[in-house]
Amino acid sequence: MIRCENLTRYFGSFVALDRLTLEIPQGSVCAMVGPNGAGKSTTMKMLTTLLAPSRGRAWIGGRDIVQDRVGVRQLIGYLPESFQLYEDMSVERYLQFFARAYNLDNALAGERVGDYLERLGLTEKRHARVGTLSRGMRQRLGVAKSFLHDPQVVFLDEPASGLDPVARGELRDFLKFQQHLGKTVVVSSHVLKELADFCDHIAIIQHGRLMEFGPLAGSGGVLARYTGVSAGGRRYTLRVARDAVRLEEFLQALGGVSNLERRDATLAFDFDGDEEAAARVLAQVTAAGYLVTRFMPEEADLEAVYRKASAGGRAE
Amino acid sequence: MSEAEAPLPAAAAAPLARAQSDEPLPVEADHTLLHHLGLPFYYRHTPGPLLRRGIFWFSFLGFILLLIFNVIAMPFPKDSILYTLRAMIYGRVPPYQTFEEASAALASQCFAIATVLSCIVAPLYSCFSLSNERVLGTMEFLRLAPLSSTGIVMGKAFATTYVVHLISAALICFGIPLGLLGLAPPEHVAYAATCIVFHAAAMSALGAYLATQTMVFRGFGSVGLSLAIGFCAQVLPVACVREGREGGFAALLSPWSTLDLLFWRNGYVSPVELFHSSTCAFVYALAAQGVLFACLIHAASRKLDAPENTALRHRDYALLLGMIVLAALGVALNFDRKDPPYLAGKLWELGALVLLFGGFGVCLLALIDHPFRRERLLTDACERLAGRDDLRAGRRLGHAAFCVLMAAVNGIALLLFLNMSGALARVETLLTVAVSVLVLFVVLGAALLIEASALRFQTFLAQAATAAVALAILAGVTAVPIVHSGMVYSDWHSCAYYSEAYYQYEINKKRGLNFRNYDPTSQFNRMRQTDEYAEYVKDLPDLAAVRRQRELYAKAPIALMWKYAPMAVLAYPAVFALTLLLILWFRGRSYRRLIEEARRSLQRSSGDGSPA
Repeated sequence: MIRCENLTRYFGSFVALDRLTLEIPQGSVCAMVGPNGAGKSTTMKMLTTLLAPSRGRAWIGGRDIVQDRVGVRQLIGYLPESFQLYEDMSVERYLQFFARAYNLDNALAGERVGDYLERLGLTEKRHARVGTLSRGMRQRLGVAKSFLHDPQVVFLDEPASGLDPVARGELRDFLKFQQHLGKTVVVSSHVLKELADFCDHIAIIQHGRLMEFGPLAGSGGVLARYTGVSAGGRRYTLRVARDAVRLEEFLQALGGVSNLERRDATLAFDFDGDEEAAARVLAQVTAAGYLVTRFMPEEADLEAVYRKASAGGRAE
Repeated sequence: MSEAEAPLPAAAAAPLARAQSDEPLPVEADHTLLHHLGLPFYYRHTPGPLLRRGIFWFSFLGFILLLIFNVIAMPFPKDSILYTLRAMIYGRVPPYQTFEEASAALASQCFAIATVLSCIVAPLYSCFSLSNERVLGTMEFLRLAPLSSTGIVMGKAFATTYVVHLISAALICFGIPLGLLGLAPPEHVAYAATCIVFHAAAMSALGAYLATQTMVFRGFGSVGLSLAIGFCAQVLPVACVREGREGGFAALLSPWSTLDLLFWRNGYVSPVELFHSSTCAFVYALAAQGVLFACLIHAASRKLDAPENTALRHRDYALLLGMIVLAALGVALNFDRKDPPYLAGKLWELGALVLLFGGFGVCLLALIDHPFRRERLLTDACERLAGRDDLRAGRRLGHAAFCVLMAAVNGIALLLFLNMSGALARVETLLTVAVSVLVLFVVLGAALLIEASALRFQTFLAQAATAAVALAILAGVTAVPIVHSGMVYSDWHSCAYYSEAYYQYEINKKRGLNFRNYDPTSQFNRMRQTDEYAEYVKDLPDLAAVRRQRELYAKAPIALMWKYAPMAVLAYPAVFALTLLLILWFRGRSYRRLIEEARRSLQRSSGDGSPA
């Protein structure tokens, strides 16, 4: 769906993006992570035709971002990191304005506007002037505008900034729903834990270079490569009331357990097996007389992946 | 039922109910012509319904008043009430002698108001609208809509002010039959109406272009610039109204001078022609405004796409130069067999003037609009260091070569025009040729200098200051030979003139012919005793020598300089060459510094010292 070949952007002698080459398949949600000034926003601006690349080419849905700008704009929605809205319009009129700009017919425009106002919790503010909205509400309106014309590809640059925790949860659900609709979403954020929930691809960019790109899960996935957890496996935490040292030896003897780490009474290990096999391990531990106070799988740790990728190291 | 419980009237209740409920607002049907033309942004920065209604009624009442005051001013019979009314307002002397005159006046007033609205008010407002979008930062979302940049610029240029343009169109439609009733020739009325339309388009495009260029003073800078340039474009051609065949066609480029020509002077007396044809003049004036409109809209959309883009491509500049050459040729070929012979030379000279200002003006615009800003050059340098260079170095020199080529074409055309005017066979030959060659030199030097200053300095101010100082030095270097050559020639010409007069006087005296009024002997002797003239006079011993040398120097003026200032003939080309070499040295040095800067930057970014 999105293909970049040696996409490069200079600002004078500063290389904002250096030969980015990647291919994001249709229907996937790709997290674009990296520190400030890494080149994420520059990449998004180039892919959304707002900035011309200095070198290289890119295609969205098979359309060249330089040769066929209008064609690309029909396919994409974009929410920049910072944006301005027409302050003097009402929320509903604002969305209607862009519905018209995207050539939606009147019936469809009315339907979509109502739908997105409801989904993003803006129904109560529909008649309010945009200028009177809070930062969070403006962010929601921006998201609604980006999805209004039912684009196939959506770029969201820090969409959760300015949102309270509840609104972040709603936004996450909204993006999951869009993922189910088969849309390709490219999202950049600093809150990596939230991205891990619904992203299936990750691109790590640092100093304008792509450090890592690929599917998040799976045997060849980025997560597996950086955390050492193989296909279907996860990392577990186990805490016992006493005899942690002995338990460490006990676990090492079990099959499928690797990367065992102990900190006081807590042990963390990668387990190569499904949840049922993990439950059997727990049964073996309790049967051996250990008093288990906690046994739970760890969440996918994107932060660890990001830190390792930035440092240039892998688990292998 | 108490008063408090009384139901609200239906009209008041409906909006309240809608506000309380969450019913969606109806989406307004958009079947306007503008929408079908791809201009969907008209509802941004357009007045609201109430203000629109206000504008309509204000315009309508104003128009009715205009109509009443014009109707009253018509020449009614003395026994009528309207006559009495007119006498009360205008006095005994009627403003109009005939109904036809009154109709034509009313038509011209309608056209004038339409001009104010469409050529001044609307362009300034649309310029503000586009500028305001950029200042507020809302342009980014507009650019994401599936519309080309040209579509967005056109939308902002015209759709925002469509109400004003509709009022103008109504006025023009009303003015056309009035003009015809006023016995104005139909082609004049048609041209006046078309000229307003084309000029409004060109002015709106100018506003849009300036709005994409600058955001100073929160967008009002572009409005001010638009006002200033628009004022010049509309007022300067008025000066050409009296020129007639020699250059009156330029009056057709502004609606004000057009109205002046076609209505306020009751039809032009002297012909306004191009290629000795009024039709050609009309067509050219419209075509010129059309080309200007197309170029400006194109430039605005290119700048909106990416500020680092040049405003126009080379082919657009070539087209503009072609239009200038066409105009010059048209002016030169305005000669009629019935005209006195001296007029032909005057017309060719006028054509040459058009080339001198218009042609070299286009060359200068192309020079300023060079694509190699410092950022771009740094990028190119980085690419070259990274081993990923393409042919941009060639393209950089290509732009300078293009400017020089345009200047050369224009210079050759200028020489041909001067030759046709007979100027080359006259005494000004030396200066003419020298000026043409030196203008080429200045253009070449400026092309290289502007690029070099862009390479060398980071801030625009420093770049502009360097370019200005360097251009001043260039101008000085070129002015000195021109002035010196002029002085040498002028001195020699004076000597030749007085020597010839003296020798002729002597011959006539010997023959017994008496010239009472003029005896050049004293002036000739005084000249012979002056050091700076003595050398010239020594070489002019008799009448035959004077005439022989005059003929020789007319054909080969450089021989005069070679004889009396041989060092200058050698030194000036050497100075030119040295200046060019200095410019090239400065350019090369600046470029090397830029490469160094790029290398340092790449080393910083890669950390290991190797290019990225």
